[in-house]
Amino acid sequence: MFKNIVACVLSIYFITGKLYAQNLFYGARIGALANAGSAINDSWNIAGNPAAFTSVHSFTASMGYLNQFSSPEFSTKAGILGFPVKSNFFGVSFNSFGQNPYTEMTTGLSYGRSFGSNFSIGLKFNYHTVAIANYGNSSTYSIEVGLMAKIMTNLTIATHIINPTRSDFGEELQNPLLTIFRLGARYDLSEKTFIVSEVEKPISMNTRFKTGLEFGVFKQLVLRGGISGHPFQQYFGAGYTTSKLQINIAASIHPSVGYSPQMSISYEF
Amino acid sequence: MNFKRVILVFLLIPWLSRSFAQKEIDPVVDNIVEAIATATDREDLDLNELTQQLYFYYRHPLNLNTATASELELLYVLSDLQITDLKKHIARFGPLIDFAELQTIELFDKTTMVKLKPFVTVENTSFLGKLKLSKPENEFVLRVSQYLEPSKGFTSKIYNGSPARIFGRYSMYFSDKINFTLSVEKDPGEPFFGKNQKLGFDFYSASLSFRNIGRLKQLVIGDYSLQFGQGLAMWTGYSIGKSALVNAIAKNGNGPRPYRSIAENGYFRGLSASVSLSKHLSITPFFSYRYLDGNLIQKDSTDEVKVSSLQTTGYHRSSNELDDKQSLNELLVGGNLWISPLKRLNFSLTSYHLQFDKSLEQETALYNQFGFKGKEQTVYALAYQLNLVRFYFFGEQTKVSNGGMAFLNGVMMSLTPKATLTLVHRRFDKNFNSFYSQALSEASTNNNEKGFYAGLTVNFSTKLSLSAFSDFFEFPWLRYRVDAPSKGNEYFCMLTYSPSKKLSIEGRYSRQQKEIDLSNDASTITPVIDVVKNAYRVGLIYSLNEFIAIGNRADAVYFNNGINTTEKGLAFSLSIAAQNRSKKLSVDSRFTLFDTDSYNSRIYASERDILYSYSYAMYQDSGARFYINVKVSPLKKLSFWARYSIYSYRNKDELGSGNDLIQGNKKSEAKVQMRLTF
Repeated sequence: MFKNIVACVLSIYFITGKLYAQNLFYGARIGALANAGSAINDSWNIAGNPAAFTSVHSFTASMGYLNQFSSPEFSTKAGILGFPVKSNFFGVSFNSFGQNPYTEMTTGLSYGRSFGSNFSIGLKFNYHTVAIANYGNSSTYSIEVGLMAKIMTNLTIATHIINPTRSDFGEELQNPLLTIFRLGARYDLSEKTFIVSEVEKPISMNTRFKTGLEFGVFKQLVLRGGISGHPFQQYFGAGYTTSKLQINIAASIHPSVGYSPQMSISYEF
Repeated sequence: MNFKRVILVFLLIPWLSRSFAQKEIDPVVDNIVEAIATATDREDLDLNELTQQLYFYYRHPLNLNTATASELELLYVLSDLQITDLKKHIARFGPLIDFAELQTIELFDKTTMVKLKPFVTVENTSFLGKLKLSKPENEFVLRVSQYLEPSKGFTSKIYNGSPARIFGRYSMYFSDKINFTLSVEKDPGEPFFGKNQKLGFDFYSASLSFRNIGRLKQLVIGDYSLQFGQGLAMWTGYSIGKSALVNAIAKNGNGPRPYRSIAENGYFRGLSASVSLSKHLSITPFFSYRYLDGNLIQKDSTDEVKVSSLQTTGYHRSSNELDDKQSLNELLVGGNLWISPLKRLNFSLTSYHLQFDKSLEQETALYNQFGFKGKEQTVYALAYQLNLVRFYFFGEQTKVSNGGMAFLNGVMMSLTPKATLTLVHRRFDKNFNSFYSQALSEASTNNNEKGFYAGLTVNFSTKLSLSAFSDFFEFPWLRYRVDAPSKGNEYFCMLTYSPSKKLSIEGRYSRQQKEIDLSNDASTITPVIDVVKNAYRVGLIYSLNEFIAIGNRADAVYFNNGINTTEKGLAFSLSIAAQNRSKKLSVDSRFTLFDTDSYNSRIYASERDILYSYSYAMYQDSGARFYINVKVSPLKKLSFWARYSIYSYRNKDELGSGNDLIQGNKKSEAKVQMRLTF
């Protein structure tokens, strides 16, 4: 039974072309933009590009839920906390994937530093645990580094490297932490509307190109959409923002395994 | 003096002084060397000599009014057409008054002037040819580096020495007239003192040189390099072939120059001088006697000892390599005569004779049956250069005594001030076996090849420029791993866009098609198949301010032989260079993730290294590459460098092969260097 579930989880992972032990959930805003979020300044980048959460103005907390392929076995629960100290930015992120008998957990500590309004760098420490019932637990550490630069008034470029030191779970676990290189760009069309694109290259796996559009309909409401390759997926979503509260919903469509709805709620104290 | 011209020049000065104010901050030399390294992407290019040359001109700028064409060409900033234009301008209007006056010369655009400025001055010419002895400048460099994972050669005690590489160099300059240089080096695994190496270092090189003293243009005693004509008869040291510098194909031999590199081949040891007899005539005799490394064979005890192959790596680590060390000697005598019958026409006649003490006989295979055999060779060459308005013709014809001939002829045209076209035709006989040829070719040697090259540069504006070349080649005889006469072609295109001073974007595409043996084929007759390699690159560099610059680059290579599935190679990188406000501390670093299917789809990338070093990374298989360089200059005269670099592979438990085999999936190197000037 356990074996079947574990085998099922891993085989769905194969189908979806996603065999990362790093569960990449960046909130429903970035999720609606095909996860091409490395160059978007957003509090959920506490879990993503650590150089790109310098938009956090005060203590911010957020929670999110991703129900991958509409099945609870593949659900991700995640949360973030962040606060600034002058031009230093600190964040904690938490991510839990799966259900007994197979679960993965990642806890992250992020530090971002901005130099002026156009440039920031960031560093993130992760602690990963994989637990498989009747097999045991395994854990390891990894780091992520990020960098974001606004090189023209409407163009921002960011690089996010996940696990550059190539740490893994050792010999006992076959799904290692991948080293992933993300290169993203954001081009602002107007104050509330922009296009993002990202190239994501995990080691030994296909390069994924992702692109998305955020369109500000009016002050409180934004609509979003995106597409990604390898496998070809479509994304769409919406966001409702007040001065303190932000609610985002999104969904992605996979050609063979269907819809994955997600949502996140943020509050800025 | 034309009054209008003076007024114009002075009007231009304030504008120019603003745009060149950054001189002290820019690591100009590093940038040019890096540009050349990136442009050429050739692993074996020794840029040490070039780096030193550029640093020398940075400290002792060339006087534009007196510099020779070959000196100006060494900067790799000006094309031959621009140099000709400058000379014409000086001949017509007299010496330049100010640097800004270059603005008035048609072929000099702003980009060229910004690049040129750090290396030149404009001075009155009355000091020409006089020897002024100023206080000497001394430079001392010491570098130690080591691979941190011991390879099999060390763990199984095959190598006689320690894994450290030690390099030292002392140079003394009396202005730009007299120079003395002594270099020493020990490679990893080579013994250092002790019974196997009583002299300490494995390699010593020294030279004493004098230049521009009266009629004496150059005199080198000791180790020197020689470059004549288009490099078809004699060219040692670095030579730029097909690359993004598409017009650098037209060469201009510099004659003898002191050798300051540490590559243990490609130099001569003895004496060479260049003497100008009149304005139209100069003569350059040279003499060299040195030892080479070669693998000796003797069929039986009564037979003559012969050399089966020359070793050019310079490694003397194991007893096998030590046996080959200095096993034959080479005597080289020759000369060059430079004649300029007309102002815009010159001829360069080169001839030399070389003699080995043992006869050289390669193991015969069908493909190399026309290769060099014997003990001696004489080479004759005639090179020419002719300037006609917007056309610059160049070429060289060479004959070797015991083999065939080689021809190279080309023309560089200025289509408009913004567009330059270079066309070169070449034909090298299959039995043209010259040891010191380094002219334009597809193969690594100048024989058994016919080809036609066309290169074009267009500067659409100061922001957008294009470089492109195409090359068709044909090999009339078999080659190594090609069991039939074969042919191929290559295209290259690069667009550079710099919308602002802070941002530069570059995209390049190249496609190469050629015929090679189908490897791993079981049949007795190996079929020759067409292989195609497509390579793409996008790079961008953005400087945030004068202290931080960031670069991103993505490379993709696709290799297809029409039978197997396409082999892919990908690499993504992030690089950062930063320095503090006082410029005393600077750091640069790069992280690359690469994923390639095979050796055929490997990717090369030049890397920034510490001063006087250069390195190329080769990305093959899957993994990550990282390096960091740190430079600290606590005093103006004293600088320190440190470098750490590592390759980390996925799914590998050993790296390399033979004596270089390393256990594990990581290969890292540490390097430290000190430079003292006094």
